[in-house]
Amino acid sequence: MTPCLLLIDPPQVGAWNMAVDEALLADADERGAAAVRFYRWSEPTLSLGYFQAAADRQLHPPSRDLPMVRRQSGGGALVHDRELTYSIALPATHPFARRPPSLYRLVHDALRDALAAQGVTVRTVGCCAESCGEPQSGGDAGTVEPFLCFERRHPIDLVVASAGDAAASSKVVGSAQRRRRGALLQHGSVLLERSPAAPELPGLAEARGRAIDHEEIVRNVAATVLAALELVVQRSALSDPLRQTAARLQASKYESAQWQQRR
Amino acid sequence: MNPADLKYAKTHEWVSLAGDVATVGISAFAIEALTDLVFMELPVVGKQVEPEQPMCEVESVKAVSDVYAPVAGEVIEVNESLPDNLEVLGTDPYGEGWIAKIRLAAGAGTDHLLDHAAYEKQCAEEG
Repeated sequence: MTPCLLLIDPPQVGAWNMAVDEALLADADERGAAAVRFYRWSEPTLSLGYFQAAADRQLHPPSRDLPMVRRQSGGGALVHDRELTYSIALPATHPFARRPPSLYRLVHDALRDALAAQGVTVRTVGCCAESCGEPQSGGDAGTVEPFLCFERRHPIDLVVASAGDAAASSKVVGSAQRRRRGALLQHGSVLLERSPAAPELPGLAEARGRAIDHEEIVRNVAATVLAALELVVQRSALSDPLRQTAARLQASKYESAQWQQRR
Repeated sequence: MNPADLKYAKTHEWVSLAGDVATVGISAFAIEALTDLVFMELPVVGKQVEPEQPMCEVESVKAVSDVYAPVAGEVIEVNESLPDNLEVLGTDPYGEGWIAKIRLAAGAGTDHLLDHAAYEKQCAEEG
């Protein structure tokens, strides 16, 4: 069993949320620590994928006035409003850090089961057709991806089929990773409900017909993930050194114009 | 280039040394592990680099990963065509897929790097 930090955080600003995730990755890389974290955002915030251009936010008028933060992970932009975010940091020695795709599957399977317990059926995007044998990735070099993460499709993303239209689907869970010397940070977003800042994206509440109990999701997913990763919770709050690292990263990096506008 | 003739960093970068200039790329093992590369940000020419420090970054469909400098020195040339032709990282990682050329700093060398046999052993252990 690997000792683990489990954080179930209150809503915080975007720069702090991203700084904590980076501090957890650094701790995994430098000290071999593991962490599982669930968090929300104190104000609706747009997070850009690491390589996205800041100017591209103009492509999405509904979120144009939101505060913005740039993530360490790749992929498309996310509107963090009526959603739940999770992150997992694993040291390079952990078996799941050596097989990064397996961590996507583990977390998304746990989320699928937790959502099923609340009456919402979701599935992975998987292949574009039974017969094609090819994933519906859309990630080929040279293709222009949609600005928003939840308008992109990857085989491991979770979608809910639209009522009366089996071909249409709404993405409700997406994840991305940052790898550092073999250590791994995976964070992802669960779209609980449609946001006014991204009205084109229906969430789980729209699929279910009423709100999702996100605290129950956290409990179920945390239990499943901790057991599957063979993690034993040793702490449930940031240590002083981790808090100091996060505070330094928040001020020097995630709140800085240089980082925000690096592309 | 023949992979057997190259040296390797534990972080999966390969090095071919000619005089005091090291040509650097990412190993086939690492390319396969990264999967579905979509974007690469090359190092800046003139940048001073140190072993085990990030030199540039690469994005796959679902992850961003650092590429580490395997030697100490100055980046003197980069493969400008690579970001628009990332498929060559898969088809020719030890040739057309080179990333940068680094002029070694005074006193810097490659003795700290793995030979091909030792690197293969590391990959087998990770695999």
